[in-house]
Amino acid sequence: MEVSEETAVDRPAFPPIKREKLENGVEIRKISVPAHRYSPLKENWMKLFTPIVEHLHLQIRFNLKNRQVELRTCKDTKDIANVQKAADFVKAFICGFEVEDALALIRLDDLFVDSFEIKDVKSSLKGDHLNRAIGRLAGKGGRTKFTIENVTKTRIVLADQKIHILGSYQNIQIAKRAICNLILGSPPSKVYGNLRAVASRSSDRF
Amino acid sequence: MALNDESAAANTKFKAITKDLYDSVNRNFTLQGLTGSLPELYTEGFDEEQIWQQLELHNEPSFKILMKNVAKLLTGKDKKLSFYKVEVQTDDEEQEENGLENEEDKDSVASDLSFQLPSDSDNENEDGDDSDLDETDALKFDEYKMLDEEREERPKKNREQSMGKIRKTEVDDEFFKVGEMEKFLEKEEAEKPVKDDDEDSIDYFEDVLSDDDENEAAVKAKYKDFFRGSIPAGDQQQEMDEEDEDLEEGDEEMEDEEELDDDDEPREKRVKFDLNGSDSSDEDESDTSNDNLTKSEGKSSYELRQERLKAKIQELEDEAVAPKPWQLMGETKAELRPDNALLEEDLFFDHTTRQAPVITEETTKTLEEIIRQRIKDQAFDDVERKIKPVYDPTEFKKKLVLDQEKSKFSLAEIYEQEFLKQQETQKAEAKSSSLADVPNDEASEDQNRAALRKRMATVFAKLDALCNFSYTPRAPEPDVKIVSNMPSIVMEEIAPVTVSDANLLAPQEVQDPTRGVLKGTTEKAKTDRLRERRKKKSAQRVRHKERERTEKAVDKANPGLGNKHAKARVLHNLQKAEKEGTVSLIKDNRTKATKSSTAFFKQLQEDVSASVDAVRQGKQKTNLKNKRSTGSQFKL
Repeated sequence: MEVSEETAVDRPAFPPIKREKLENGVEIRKISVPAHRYSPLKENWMKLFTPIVEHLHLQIRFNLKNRQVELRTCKDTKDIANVQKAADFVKAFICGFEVEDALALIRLDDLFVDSFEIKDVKSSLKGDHLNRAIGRLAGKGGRTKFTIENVTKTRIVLADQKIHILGSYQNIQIAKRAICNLILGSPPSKVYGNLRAVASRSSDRF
Repeated sequence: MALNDESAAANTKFKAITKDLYDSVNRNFTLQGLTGSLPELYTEGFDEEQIWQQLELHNEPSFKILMKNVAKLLTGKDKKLSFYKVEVQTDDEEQEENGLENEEDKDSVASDLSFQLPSDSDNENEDGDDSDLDETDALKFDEYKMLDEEREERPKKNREQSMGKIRKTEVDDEFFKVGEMEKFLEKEEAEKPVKDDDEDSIDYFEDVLSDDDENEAAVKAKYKDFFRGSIPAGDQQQEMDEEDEDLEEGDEEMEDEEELDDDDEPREKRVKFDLNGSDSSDEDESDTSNDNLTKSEGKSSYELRQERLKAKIQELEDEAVAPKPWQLMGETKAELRPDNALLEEDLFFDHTTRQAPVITEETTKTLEEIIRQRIKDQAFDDVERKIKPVYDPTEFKKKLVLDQEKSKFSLAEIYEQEFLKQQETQKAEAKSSSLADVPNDEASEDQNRAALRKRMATVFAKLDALCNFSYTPRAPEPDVKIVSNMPSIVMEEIAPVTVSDANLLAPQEVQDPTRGVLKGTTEKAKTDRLRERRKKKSAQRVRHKERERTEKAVDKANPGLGNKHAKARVLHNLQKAEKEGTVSLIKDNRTKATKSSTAFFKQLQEDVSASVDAVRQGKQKTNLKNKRSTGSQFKL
C-alpha cells in the first residue's frame, strides 16, 4: 500500500483572532445600555465604578460610541469569577434595579436575576386587560409589589411588560408564583394569604 | 438909751425868773443820779456867760439821764404803749400829782425842745410858748404813761394764758385750735361761772343783743364774711336755711331775733368751736341764760356731774328703746333704706361661684415665667401616642408578614442581617451542650450583658424581699417565637427512634378553637341541629349580601348587559324563573312558515299574550308567597 502524501486538505478557515483574546487571560465583557437607562447610568456612575474597581479589582469604562459598558480584568484581579459578578451587577443595574440592591449580587454568590414577560404567563392579555394586569401587579401606590418584595426578600422591577426579579433562587420562585397568580387574575388578598403561608415556611429554610 | 434901760430891766427880770426856777427845781425835783449840779443859781455879780455855764453844768448830765428814760419808755418790752385819748377834765389832781412827779423830766425835755427851736422864735416869746408847750406835752405824756401803768397792773393771767403754751395738733385751723379749746374747758370747769356786773368785764359767750337796727348786719354776719375758703357741707345747709329765714324775716323787729332756732344760734361760736351745740341754744335768750346761771350757782359739782350722767343715761335709753336702724333689721328692701346707703356700708357675703381670675400684669408675668421655664426644661405636656398592648399571640400572626411599604433596607442589607442572624444562631447552637437545655431567646449575648443581667436579677430579688413580695408584677407580654408546624420529630431528635406524627404546633394554634363541647352527628339534639342551621343560614345571608353589593357596584360601573356578570346573572335568573314556572319560554315550534306579514304578527301577538298571562298568574302566586312571614320574625 502506498502511503500517499497528504494531498492539500482544505484547512478550516478561521478568521483572525481579535486582539482581546490574544492577550494573556484578559477577559472582557460588554453590556449595552438602552437609551432610557443612559441618564441614570450617568448619575450613578461613581456608585457603580467604586465597588468594581476597589473590591473586584477590574477595569471599567463606558464606550460612548457603542453605548456599552466595558469590563476588563487586569493584573490586580485576583479571581477571574469577579468579571462575571461585575457583569451581572452592571446588567442588574441596567435592568432597572437600584445600585444598592444590585450590590447584593457582588456580595452574595447565590443571587440571581430572573426576567420574564407577562405574555409568557398569559398570552391572551391584550390592550386594557394587559394594562389592568400590570396595575394589579403594582397595586395602589406600589403596595402589592412592595408586599411581595418584603415577604420574599426579593426585588422586583416592573418594566411595562417585562418583569425582573432579583433574589435567591427559592425566593425568586415564591415571588414568581405570586406574580403569576396576580397576572392570571387572582385578587391581591388571596395572593397575600398564600404568601404569608409560604413565607413562614421559607423563613426557616433560609 | 431907753432901749438899753428896757433891756437891762428885762435882763434882770429874766435873771431873777431863771434863778427862781432853778432853785425851785433843785429843791423839789431831783433827778436820780444827778451829781455835780449847783444847789443854787448865783445870778448876782455874775456875768451872763457865767450864769450860762452854771445852767450847763446842771443840764448836760440831766439831759443824758432823761434821754435814757425816754428811750426806755419808747421801747417798752411787754408794755404796749397805746396812746388813746383820755379826758383831761376828769382828775386835775391826779394830773397835778403826776405832773409834779414828772415835771422835772418834762422840764428838761421842754428845755431841750425849746433849745431846739431857737432859730425860729425869739427869746421873749419862748417863755410863754415853752410853758404852754410844757404843760400840754407833759399832760399828754402823763396820760399815756398812766394808761400804760394801768395796763401793767391789770391781771396778767389772761395774757399769759393766751400767749402761753398752746398745744398744737393736726386739727388746728385758721379759726380753731384744740389747745385753745382745752384751755377754755379747764378754765370753765375750774371757775364757777360768775356773772360780772362790771361793765368792764365782758361775757364773751353771751350773744350780743343790740337793739339797734344798725347792728343787725353785724349780728347776722356769716362765716363767709370773716373767712375765706369753703364752708363744710352741713354748715352750708344751715347757712342756706339761715339766709332763707333772714329773707323771710326781712324788716322784722329785733324781738324776733331772740327766738332764734338751733340752726341760727352760735355763729360766733361756730367759728371757734361748737362745744355744746344743742345746749347752748338755751343761752340765746338772755333771760333763760340768766335763769340757768342762777340755778347753776346753787348746784354743786357733784350735782352737775350727776346731771350729766343722767343726760347720758337718758340718751342711751332712748337709743335702746327706739326702733333700730336699718342695718340691724334683718332683711331690708330698697324702700326701707335711704338712697345709696349700701354704697357706704361694708358688706360681707359668701360668693358661691368661683371668681374669674383677675388678670393683672403679675399673673401674666408668672404665667410667662412658667412657660419659659418649661421651654428651658423641655418639659412639655405633649400627648403621647398610646399603643394598644398585645395580649394574644394570634395577633402577631396577622401582623407578622405583611409590610406594604417599600422596605427601607436594600437587598444587600437585608441579606446581611439575615446572615448575621444565622451566624449568631449557629453560635448559640454551638455553645449549647445539649438540645434539652432551654434555648436563649436573645440571639447574641455579650459576657458583659450576661453579667449585668445576673446582677440586676439579684438586686430585684432583694428589693422584692424587702417589700415582702407585695409588688405588682409586670404584665405578661406574649413572647414572639416563630414556630413552624413541622413534625416534632424533625426538630427534637437527631436519630428517629420512634415514629410519631406529633406536630410542634398545638391544635388550637392550627385551627381556631370551638366553643362548647364537641358533639358528633348522632349525639346532637334538635336544638343543636337547629342552632347549626341558623348559623349556617346567617353565614349564607352575609355572603349573599356581599355578593349583591359587589354586583351593584359593578352595575353602577357598567350598567346594562355590558359586562359578563350581568349577562350571566340574567341567564341564571331566566333559568330559575323557567324552573319555577314564572316564565314560559316561547317555544318556537312553528312548522309552517308564515306566508304573510299579518299572519306572522298575529301569531306573535298570540304567543306574547299567552306568555304574559302565564307571568301574571305566577306573580300572584309569588305575592302570596312573599306575604308569608317567617316565625323567627315574630320571636321576641
